[in-house]
Amino acid sequence: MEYALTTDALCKSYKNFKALNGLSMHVPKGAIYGFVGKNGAGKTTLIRLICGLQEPTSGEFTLYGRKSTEKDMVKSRRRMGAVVETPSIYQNMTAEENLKQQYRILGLPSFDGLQDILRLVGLPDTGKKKAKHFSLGMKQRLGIAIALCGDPDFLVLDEPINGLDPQGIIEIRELILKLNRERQITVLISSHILDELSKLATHYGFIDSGRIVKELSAEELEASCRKSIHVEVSDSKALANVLDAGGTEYKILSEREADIYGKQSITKLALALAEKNCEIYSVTERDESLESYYVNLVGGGTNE
Amino acid sequence: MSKLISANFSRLFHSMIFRLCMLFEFGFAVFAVGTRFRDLLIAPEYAFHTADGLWFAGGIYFGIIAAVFTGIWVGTDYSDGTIRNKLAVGHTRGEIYGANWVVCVSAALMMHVVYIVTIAGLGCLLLEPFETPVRTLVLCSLASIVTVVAMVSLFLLLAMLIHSKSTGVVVAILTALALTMAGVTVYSKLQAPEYIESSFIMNEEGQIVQGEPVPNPNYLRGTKRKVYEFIMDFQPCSQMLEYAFSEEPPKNLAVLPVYSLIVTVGTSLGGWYFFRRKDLK
Repeated sequence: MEYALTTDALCKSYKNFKALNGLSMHVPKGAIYGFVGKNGAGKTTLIRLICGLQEPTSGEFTLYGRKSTEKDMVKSRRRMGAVVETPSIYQNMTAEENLKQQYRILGLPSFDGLQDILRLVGLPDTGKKKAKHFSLGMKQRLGIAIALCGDPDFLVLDEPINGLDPQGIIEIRELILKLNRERQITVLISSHILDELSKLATHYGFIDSGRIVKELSAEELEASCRKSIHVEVSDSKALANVLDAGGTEYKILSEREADIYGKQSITKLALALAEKNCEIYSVTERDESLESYYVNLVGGGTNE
Repeated sequence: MSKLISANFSRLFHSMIFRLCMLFEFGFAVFAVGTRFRDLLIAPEYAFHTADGLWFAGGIYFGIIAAVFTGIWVGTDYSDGTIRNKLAVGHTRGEIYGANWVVCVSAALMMHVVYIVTIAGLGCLLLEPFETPVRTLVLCSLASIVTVVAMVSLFLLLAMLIHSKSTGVVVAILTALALTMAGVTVYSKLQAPEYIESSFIMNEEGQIVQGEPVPNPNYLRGTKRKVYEFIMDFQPCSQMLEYAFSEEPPKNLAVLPVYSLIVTVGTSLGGWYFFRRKDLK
């Protein structure tokens, strides 16, 4: 698999506090990578390192094939756009002026495509209104628009839906999906609003205390989170025969354990297994969401 | 770095603080010449007939103007978070520092030139021709340009290393005030006469005559005087005072730009070094 970003044992310390503690992660090209963790887990610290705002204490990361220790790392950064924490916009400029400023910073020869970006983020008609008079959602979209200048391949969004109203959340979600599907932009999105993230992400990385505790794809997560019945039987082969006959999806975990997906009549299953001299020892229903998966993974401690 | 310089200049000409500073410099020059012109009309026998002495009068407060402008202009990049946009797209910290230096120095020089040109233009128009030789004015003006560069380099160091816009501006203004006040204090001490006239006494013949001049106890001598002179010459805000207060060009005019260059190089290298290592948010 090709990766837009990988990190290898990345550490960042502030005096005696380790914000990142040997973090290793892998963001596949073309993915929407949901970066999940509590406040203070190290999400923003990692983003600051990637964006060059801070230097790692140890470890390194690779962005589009270039290591962070290489001198020409800046070339890889040119393929990146980012919104770190609050949108980075000149409050005294209009949306168009802000974009023009970013075009100049990038050294683009003309302002071609500027109106397209404003239309894409839903800010085509803000006219002479200064950014300081924008709503939070508009500022967030303008921040993303600035990050999109220069046609980046990789977009880093730090808590892009924090503080937005429901309409704003929907708009940002639609925009991120559109950018990913239509422009094939890889997106790293950090958030602790799990419900929203589950509507977007194709891959997840769970961070806790400065370390990645689990990385998995949305399919893997879905499989883990699907409604299932966990059964413990005397003979899992007999169970498999019965389930195959009924066309039921399942996963054998060991000689005595299996997960059965979808709705299943326990009475029918018990009768069918009895015919094959297979005993049922226990049946447990599982119903996981991203949230419960996350809680199981990192524990349900309080947010700092 | 040219991309950043171009973007910074574009932002500069949109900047309200830059416009206000330019307007202030112009307004102060008009006020200074206008006041002399009014005095000339009301009481010509007591008034100054030329704009001599006003040429560098703006230098007295220029440190504060430069501090306000640099602090607000650079601080905006921090408060609006836009410095992140530059770093995230691959500009190095050295480029960002360098581009800010170029634009802040250019802006300060524009303000300085606006003041001088207004004084010169209005002075020639409303008052009598300058008595100070043109050569002196030109040499002092060129030297003051180097002083302005040193001043801005110092305030840029403070603004780039302090994240908070308001703290950065306050620290820069306080630094400018402290340097200017230190300059005024040192200048006044250095201006103390070496001898002071003694009081009138009655001689043996019963006539009242003035006594011999006596050494002034406040006159700085020896190493202490040299240290004070060095402080006066070295720091940019007091250099400006020297240009503003002196009727003649400063004796060590050739040395002052060298000191300014030392301040410029020292503060710029120091600022660049620490900015490269600074954790940004």
